[in-house]
Amino acid sequence: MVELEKVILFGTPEGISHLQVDISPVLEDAEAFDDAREYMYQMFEREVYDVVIAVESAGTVFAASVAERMHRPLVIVGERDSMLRETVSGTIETYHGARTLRIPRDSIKQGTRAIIIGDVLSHGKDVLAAVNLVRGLGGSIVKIGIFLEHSDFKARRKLLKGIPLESRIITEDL
Amino acid sequence: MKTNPLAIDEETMRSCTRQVYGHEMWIQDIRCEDGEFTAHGLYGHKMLPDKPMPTDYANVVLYDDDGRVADPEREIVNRPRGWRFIFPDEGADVYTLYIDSNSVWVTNDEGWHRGGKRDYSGVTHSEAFNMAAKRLISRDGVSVGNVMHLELEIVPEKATLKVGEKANFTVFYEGVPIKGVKIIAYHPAWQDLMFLKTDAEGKVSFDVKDVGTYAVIAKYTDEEKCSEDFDETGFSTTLTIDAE
Repeated sequence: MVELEKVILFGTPEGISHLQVDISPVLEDAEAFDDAREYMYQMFEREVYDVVIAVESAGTVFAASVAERMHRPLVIVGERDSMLRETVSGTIETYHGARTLRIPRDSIKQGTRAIIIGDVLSHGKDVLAAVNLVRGLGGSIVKIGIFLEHSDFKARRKLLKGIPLESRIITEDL
Repeated sequence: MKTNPLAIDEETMRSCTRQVYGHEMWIQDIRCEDGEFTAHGLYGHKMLPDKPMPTDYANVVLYDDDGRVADPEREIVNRPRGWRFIFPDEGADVYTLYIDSNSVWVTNDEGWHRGGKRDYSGVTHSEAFNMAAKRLISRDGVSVGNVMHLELEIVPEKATLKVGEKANFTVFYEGVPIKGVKIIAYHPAWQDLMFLKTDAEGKVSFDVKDVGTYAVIAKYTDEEKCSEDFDETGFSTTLTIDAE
């Protein structure tokens, strides 16, 4: 087993007020990435759900892995607007400006049970947007799985309160 | 180390091994701070947590002296790896906290799967499971209240065990004391599980020799509770109770 906490980069650069994290070294280390994907799979192994929702961008790599192993469809919530499918969207305000996130309208049916997978959770606005898009189409959220949760933002206690959320790494534990 | 007062019989082994993955759920680490109770709901075996129980298992139910109250808040935590339940202390003499889950599993050549017989081919065994956990939070450490929420219930004589005394329990199935139910007692200091059976009045007891939290697990299979999707229903209830 790789100690993933030692592979991740984290620190507070000069001029930045809060902890920065970078999980890209995990993706670049085959053994660490294997362990990370295995853990994300274990989060959902015994859950009952119909579809895996990925929150772009790096969330997609974990979500795709779970979807493949569980033989479930993968739906990506992201900014790219398909010109060939009807989408529904939600806009969030971030530090970098407004982002509009979209999901194909026919990817979620009434009663669809979804899990959401993300790479890094900070303020949680993008994940909440995914939650709202799925619910808006008649689906429900079984659980959210996050590779790294930046606990300073308290997303699980604020925006995502009440939604089952499991994280592989929580920064307050580092 | 404890020894088994009863040799493990075929039916006990059968009822133990066919419970999904041999897992139980249990409630531990009761805390009360700033007017709020917290408790951990864990899932594993021999009181070693494996991973958070599936979300649809983590149905947490709470009763106070007057009946059922609002469901506690819940969240998944990493230390210990499981669920945490949170509810306000409104001053009840006894809170009775349950986790109550229902699921259907089948076995075929490829192993265990969640789902009914119609969902898989080559099914050799199918069973509905009612896996539950119970914990009493008693203000005086003695009163056990009068709540009976589960189909398979374990009711202790007192809310806290005492080293040097007997631990006494009554096991009820559908509200009636039941004879011959398999009981497994465990304490983290033990290497082995203790296997017992309820007597004609549904009672079971053992000597309390260790301080700390005991798990008392009742397992019962009702072959008459079946459907097109499953052949029988297995009940597994784990009561955790402290000894001082």
